[in-house]
Amino acid sequence: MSRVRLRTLVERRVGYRWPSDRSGVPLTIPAYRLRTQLVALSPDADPYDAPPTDLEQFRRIDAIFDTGAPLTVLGHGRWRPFASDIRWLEQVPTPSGQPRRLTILGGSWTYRLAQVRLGVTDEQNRWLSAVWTPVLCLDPNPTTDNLALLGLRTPLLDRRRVRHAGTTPDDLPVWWLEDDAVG
Amino acid sequence: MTTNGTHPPPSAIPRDPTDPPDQQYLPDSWAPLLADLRWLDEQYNLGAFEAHRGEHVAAVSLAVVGHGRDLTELYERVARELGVPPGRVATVYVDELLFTE
Repeated sequence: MSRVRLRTLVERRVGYRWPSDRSGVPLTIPAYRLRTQLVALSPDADPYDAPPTDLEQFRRIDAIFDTGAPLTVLGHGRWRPFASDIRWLEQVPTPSGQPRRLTILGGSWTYRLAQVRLGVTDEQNRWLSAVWTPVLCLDPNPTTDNLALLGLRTPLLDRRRVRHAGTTPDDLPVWWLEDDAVG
Repeated sequence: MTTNGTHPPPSAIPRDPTDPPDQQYLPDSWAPLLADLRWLDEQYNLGAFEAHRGEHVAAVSLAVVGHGRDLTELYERVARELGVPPGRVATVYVDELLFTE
């Protein structure tokens, strides 16, 4: 059984005024985002399930943990550092013969389907073994080059759960990605 | 709060006693890098990177050492300047603004 702690990053807070608040002090809703520290492993890294040891061989991906995204999506700037470790997949041609496109972020972007061997770590050295994950690798575009989403369809989430476990002393929510049987 | 550059990176990260007994860990050789990643998140949450929206911010040994929109270029530049492997360079991406005033 294993687990990793998801990273909680605070974005700009949403300000509002409660109608009954007579102090005049605006209140805020904290806006959190969960992120993970993914590690892309080479296809022939050995032994297969062990944590990586050589810093020079592995690339990390600072990705938003987004279960609302059906698939993992990486912008060109995110997958380029480990392009040689990507397993590209052939896709059936579209009827029109045009490249396949993904519609997100108010636009439509061409992509290539691939598999990447992704593990997950956290800031306390924990490690979830790497698995081949389907990834939409976007073509170069300034709007999407820095996009990195860990989507729902990945074996990294098989038989695992996301659990909210209170807050830290400085009031940040704690979230775990963990095997079903933990805790 | 960790102060910029005043603490040496740890050589090992203490285990959490509440972890499952068969929890896997990265080797201790990753400890300095993970300390930098943790420090970057702390700084992010303090609002230290507001000026770098849409960029990656890089840190080595608990100090910011560069920033930029092109992650590959940032890795290579910082690695060259500091004489460290690109994989040793910790980075965090500073999201574009989600909310406006």
